[in-house]
Parts: sequence; C-alpha cells; structure tokens
Amino acid sequence: MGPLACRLERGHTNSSPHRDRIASLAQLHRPAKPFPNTFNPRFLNGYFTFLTSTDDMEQKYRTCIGQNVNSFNVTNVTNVTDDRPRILTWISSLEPWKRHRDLSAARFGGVGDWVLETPEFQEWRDGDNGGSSKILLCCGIPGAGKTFIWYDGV
Amino acid sequence: MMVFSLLAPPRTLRDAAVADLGGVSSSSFVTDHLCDSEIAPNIGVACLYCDYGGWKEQTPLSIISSLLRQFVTGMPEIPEELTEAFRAVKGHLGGRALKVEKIINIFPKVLEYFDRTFICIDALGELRVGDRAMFLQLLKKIIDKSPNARLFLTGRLHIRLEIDKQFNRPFTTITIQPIHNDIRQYLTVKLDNDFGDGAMDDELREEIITTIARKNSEMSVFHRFPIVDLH
Repeated sequence: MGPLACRLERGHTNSSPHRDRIASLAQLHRPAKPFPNTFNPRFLNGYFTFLTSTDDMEQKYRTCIGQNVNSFNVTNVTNVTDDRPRILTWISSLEPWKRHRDLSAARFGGVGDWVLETPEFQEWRDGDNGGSSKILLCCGIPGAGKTFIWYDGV
Repeated sequence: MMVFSLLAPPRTLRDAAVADLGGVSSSSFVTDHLCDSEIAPNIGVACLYCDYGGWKEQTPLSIISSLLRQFVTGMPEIPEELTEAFRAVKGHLGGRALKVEKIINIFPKVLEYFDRTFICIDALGELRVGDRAMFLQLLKKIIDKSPNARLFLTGRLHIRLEIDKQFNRPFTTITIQPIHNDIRQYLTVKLDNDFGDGAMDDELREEIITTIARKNSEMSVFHRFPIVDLH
C-alpha cells in the first residue's frame, strides 16, 4: 500500500473536504496491476535516462509517476507527493546502475556468449528453487607480465 | 571482464586490446541477459560493481542496502515495514540509516515478491578483505532464507576459497579464459573503426589480428585451467 493510500485508510483525511480527490489520487498510486518488472530492459533504459536527466530526485520520481500513469492510459497527475523517492534514497544512495549502463554500452555484441551456453550457467539460471547450486562464481586466470582476469571476454 | 592490477597500465598492443576488451564485465553481460530472460513472469535483478577506489562508499552495509534498494524499486509499492522504519527515523539526525539487522530481516521478505531473483556482484576481489568477509556473511544470511534467490559472483581464483569458507555450501564455478574468436571479433571491430593515417592495409590488418589472437592463445595454454569445473 502506498503512503498516500495508507494515510487515507488511517483516517488522516476523513474530515477533509478533498477526501474524494485524495482517494482518486491514491488509486493512481496503486496501479491496477503490478508494474512490469522494473528491471525489464525497456523500463531500465527509461529509468536510467530519467535518473540522469535531472538532479532533483523527487522531480524525477514525479516524472516517473507521470510516465507510468500515462502507460496505464489514465489522467496524468504531477502534483502528487509521496515518500517513495525519499525512502529509496534513504535505503541507499549508491547508484550502481550508472556503472551498469556504461558497461552495457561498451559491450561488443556476441563476444562472451559461450558463458551463457554452458550447462552450468543454464542450470544455475533455470534450476528450481530446490536446486543444489544457488551460487555461480566466474573466476579467471592471472595473465603474463601483470595480473589480470578474464571473466567472460567481453 | 578482466581486472587489471593497478600497478601498471597496459604496455603492449595486445595488452591494450585485452584491457579494452575487459572494459565490459561479465556481470553487466549476465545482468542484461537475466533482465531479458523469460524464465519466470516476475524476475528481480540487482547488481553491484565493486571498485578498489570506492572502498569508503562500498562498505558491507552500504552494498547490501544498495541491493535491497534495487529490489524494492522493482516493487509496485514500498513494503510497509520499510515505510514505517523510515518514518520512525527520518526526524533523527537527518534520518538514521537502516540497521543491518533490519536489512537482513526484511531482505528475504522483499525477495518473496519476485518469482526468481538474481544478485550479481562483480569483481568481488576489489572489496577490502575484511569488508568482503562481512559482506559474504550478510549475503549468506539472505540467501539461506530466500529459496528463489540466485547469486552470481565474479572474482579472481582465490575468491573460491573465501566463497567456500563463508557459504559452506556447494557452488558452481566457471573458469574464464580468453577465447580466440572473441579476440578476433573484438579486433575486427576496433580495426574497422580505425581511421588513422592510412597506414593500414589488409595485410597489416590480418597480421595484427592473427598475431594478437595467437599470442593470447599461447598464454592461455600456458595458464591452462579447466574451462568449467564443479566445485
């Protein structure tokens, strides 16, 4: 339950003349169905884009809300306040997706694909939850002249 | 990916090629693959790239917190337990950080939202030894309580011993070596994009590709390890 809906259910707005309005906003905060996986590449690309397009985190989130609402073909609302962006930043301020974006952009297509075709990788990825191997470690060899490691040759 | 010693920059053409190849890690490669896969309707993926230079920011607690944040971001709503914890502390000292006990407690609950979850940690060896041990211990607590979680780690060979010690459970190891075709493919692309002073011709181009790929293969033979072995 989103914070806005939460406040509503706790009765913080029972006496408010704007209760109906807030209720409608709360519904906008609660999507009719779960979001598509946030780490879906298409969503992720958009996420990276908006994260880096402006420095104001809350403004970014409001923009995101607007995009998602639009994707559900509902009226766009941009003046909604929510703790979500502040809570996410409170959990962690690290931004590993920036590094991921840079690395993904530098990759040469097809190089290293053999790793994905190994039975070990496929079993680790596809195995049922009761499978014995939940951990996959890719490690590499030291090179000549100085130390280096290949992980997947990408 | 290839992790270089920070002691010396690449000095030869081959080193430069291999260094450049190593600019993309297997974690990003695998992470993208997992994001694209359809093995389950609702997949959660979180990744982190360890960095020698980031040890001040990359503490065990901050890394675990970052992973938690990525999964929470993938949820339609922030779990009430986290929301309440935030509201309880936001007025204190500008918002005290989550305690590690709280994170370990709530992490498996967050992972339950997904059908399958993947945690990808790149270059584990770049964490400081003490931080690495503590981080692995925290990861173990989470993995043990999360049947749908999978852990993908990359690191140097000695990391295997630490994984074995900290997790005390079977795990699979893939030992990575330079692949001849990968080297050729990479060099082909780089030379295709070389708009230098016109010295390049087909003969020189083939010589560069053949020589670098061959020397790399020779070194791989010298350092022969099993391509894949089960720990």
